[in-house]
Amino acid sequence: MTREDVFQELNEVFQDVFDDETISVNDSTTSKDIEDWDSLEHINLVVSIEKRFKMKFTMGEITEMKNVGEMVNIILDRMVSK
Amino acid sequence: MSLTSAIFLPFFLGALIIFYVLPKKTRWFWLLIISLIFFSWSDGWKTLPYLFYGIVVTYFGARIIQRYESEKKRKTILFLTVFLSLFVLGALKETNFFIHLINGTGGLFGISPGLGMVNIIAPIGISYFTLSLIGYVIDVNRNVCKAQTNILKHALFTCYFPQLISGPILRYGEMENQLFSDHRLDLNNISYGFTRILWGFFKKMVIADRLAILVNTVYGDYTNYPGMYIFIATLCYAFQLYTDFSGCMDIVLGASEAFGIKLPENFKAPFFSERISEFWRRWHITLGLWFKDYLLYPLLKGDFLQGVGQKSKKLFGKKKGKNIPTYLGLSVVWLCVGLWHGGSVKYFFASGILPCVYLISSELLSPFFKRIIEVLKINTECFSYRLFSRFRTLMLMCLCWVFVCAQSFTDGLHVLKSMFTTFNPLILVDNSLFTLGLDQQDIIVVIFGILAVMVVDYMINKEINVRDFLGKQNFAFKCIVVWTQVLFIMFFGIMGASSFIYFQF
Repeated sequence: MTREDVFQELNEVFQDVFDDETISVNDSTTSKDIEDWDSLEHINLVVSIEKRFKMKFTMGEITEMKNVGEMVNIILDRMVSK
Repeated sequence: MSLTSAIFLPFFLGALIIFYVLPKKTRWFWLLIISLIFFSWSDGWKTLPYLFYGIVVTYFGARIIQRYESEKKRKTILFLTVFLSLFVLGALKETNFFIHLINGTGGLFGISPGLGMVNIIAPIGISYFTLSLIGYVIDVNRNVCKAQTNILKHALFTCYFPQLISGPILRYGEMENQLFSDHRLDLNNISYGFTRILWGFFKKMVIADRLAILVNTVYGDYTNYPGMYIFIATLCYAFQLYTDFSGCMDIVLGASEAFGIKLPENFKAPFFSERISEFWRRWHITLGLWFKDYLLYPLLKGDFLQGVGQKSKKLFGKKKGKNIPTYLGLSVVWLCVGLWHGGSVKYFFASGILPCVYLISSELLSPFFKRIIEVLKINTECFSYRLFSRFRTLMLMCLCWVFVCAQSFTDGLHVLKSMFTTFNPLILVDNSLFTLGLDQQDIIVVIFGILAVMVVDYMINKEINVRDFLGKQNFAFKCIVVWTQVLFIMFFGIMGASSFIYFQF
């Protein structure tokens, strides 16, 4: 799966979790860019991403990742190590 | 040693001068020595073993966790380390709370357990450094940072003196490089540090300690000061608490910056919060982040709440169902926050139960409020609505603080009744407020002080860097700002009056 493919699937997850079909994420997207992305919704998002990509984030990654770009890096890392 | 005591400044200055005279490689060790001196000076030698206990337990806990690769073994050691750390904190801070709870519960069923309160002295700052230490061990387990191999460096992370007594709660990963680096002398750091210390003294000695006089007068005799008196006193307490705690943080962060070590901010203009959830993201920030990262997230991601989430989605639909585990997680977190402030029912209620009720009910009622706004065609994008929202948030917090100010939870209920059953707005105009311990000059000083704080907070709220803003001004303006504070502290500062409110936690 390429980085672009990951972003395409991520967009669907984001749109589904935040119930907003206009959302489109990129490397620099952060919680500040999406209105409902607060600390409570963050876990719902993470769990949905885990289900979609059939992988697990560590708790350290969940609390430390700074933007969607870092999220994609982790997803791609997991895919390589599978 | 209080941060506003006469001895603190000479102690700090002496420590700072020696710090920069010493060779760079030994400076961190000097910080450890003065931190231990500060701890002993503030609290006596008798409570030092509790500090050493925390250091030793977490030092070895983190090192053993790092040694194991097996997830199961790591989790066992993590659980044991966290338990050993929390056990001491709980025993020292919560014993009387639980005795009170057992006696009260027994009374409800006609049983009298008759357990007597115990007299335990908890070391200063134990609630803060225990959380920092637990966070460190969890981070090692999560591979966010590596375990410290030098126990003396680990000790410095635990008891670094500016933040020892009342936080901010530290993250090891953010502090490691700063604490143990070479600390080059940077005059900017020292200048900024002292400016911030001055601002902290101004907030504490000119505003907070002056407001405390009015608050104590009313709450000390609330039966004679009903209705509007209590409302004014509670509003004053809101500003007293804020200027006291944030003033303390200014001194702590300023002192630390003079050593070249930047600590995390604990406030971000909280009285500009439009919603209660926003308030808690701006007030005691490091505590909120700690509970979010180390308790809420693991709870929400745990099997139990994930299972609850799946079932509740089936029952209530996707949108509503996904919120059920969030509410359960929030409830657990806020009960723990209440216990952390703990030691008494009133703190547990005011800082645990009530904020939790606010947060969950605001989420639940959010569609209802949105509907009202739509029906009444209220413009939410204007200054007046934002002002209303900020006032509403402040009032909700004031309701919590009524219980903090009152002698007990039951007293808090009486105070509330007294506030809402007496209608005496005329006290605002008939000079009655001058009978509460503050004369006209005091009130002018307080109003000026609060305005100054609000101007700075307004800039912070607008993401304006106050430091950069001041730095760009002419020398004369900077002198006016600094000397106004110095003169206010000299002429209007209440010297050696009290320790900081958050020291007790």
